[in-house]
Amino acid sequence: MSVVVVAAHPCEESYATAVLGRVMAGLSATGRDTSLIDLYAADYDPLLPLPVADANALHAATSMVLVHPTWWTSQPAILLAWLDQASATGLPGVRSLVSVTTLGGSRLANYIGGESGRRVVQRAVRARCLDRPAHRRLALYGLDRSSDLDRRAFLDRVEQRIAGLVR
Amino acid sequence: MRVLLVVDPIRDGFVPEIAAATASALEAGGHAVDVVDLVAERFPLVMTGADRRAYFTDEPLVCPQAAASAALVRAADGLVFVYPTTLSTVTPSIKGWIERTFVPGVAFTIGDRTGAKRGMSNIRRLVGISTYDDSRMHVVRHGDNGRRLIQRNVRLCGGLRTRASWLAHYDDGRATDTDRSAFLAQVQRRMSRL
Repeated sequence: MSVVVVAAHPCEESYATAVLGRVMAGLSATGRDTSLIDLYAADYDPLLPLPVADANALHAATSMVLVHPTWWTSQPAILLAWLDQASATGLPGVRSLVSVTTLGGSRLANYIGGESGRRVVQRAVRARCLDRPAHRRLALYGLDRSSDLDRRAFLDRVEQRIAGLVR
Repeated sequence: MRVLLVVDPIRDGFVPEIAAATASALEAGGHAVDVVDLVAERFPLVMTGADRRAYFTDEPLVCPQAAASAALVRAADGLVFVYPTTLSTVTPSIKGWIERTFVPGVAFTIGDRTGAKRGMSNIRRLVGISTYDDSRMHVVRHGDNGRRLIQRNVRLCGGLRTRASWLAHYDDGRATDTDRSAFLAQVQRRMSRL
């Protein structure tokens, strides 16, 4: 019953950091065993093998939560590299996959753009989990034109809903 | 035409072979070819804090390697990506190259009211060449996100007359030497007539 949260954003002052804070708050309120892998903070280097600590956390994990911005319709390259390494080692016990993400464009623009990041997790990463868990997602569309109110509402939604999405 | 070839020759020996065949066929067809080999160049795939903070400024290219790639993109008439499909999408290195090279002012411009506008109308031909471990059926079922990214999202930054095409080598995990040389011949044929 442990949750691995994987975060990828280079700037501490970004909205993504606030989202991550709310994810952690929502999870800690439930008292779950939660470990955070913050790829930028940990200086993750895609050219080296997967860090042992990451592999251990994954081995025990029943849920994986990805917290990231969406760039060019999918996960940042650093997260794609990590996911590639992580799913090669295997995600044996993962029973729920959750993405918490922000998208610059509107829902329509992203629909036209093809949402490839969503499909990467929903199909390719999921296929590497034994249980074939459903992919759940909390997404803020239209970040570029969002108001303070939209952004605050999304933070609240993330904190309220995240505990219900993990196992 | 001046063609920019972006290659991620990671993992096995076949992708470099495809890249070499592509470059020589393009040259035989009378094109000038620039090559960005992401592994040989040690192109840093990770968007750094400095990159990100500069992203929406007038000087978004802080990394000299990304700036060099952006100059090649601006000078090019054609763009060719060669990579092995990984986790149903482009390799992390190709994704990183796209994130760090296709910044505002290169691939698109951001207007005050209009949102993003296409910025690569110089690109007349866009080609993706990829190998897949899985069969064509499997790729269709699981979605070809790399192809989607290049043929749709990158294509939308090109001009109205940018033509996109795709060359796929499916089932590479079970491919024989004959399959591979047939694919190389196909690449040579298509690229020399680009």
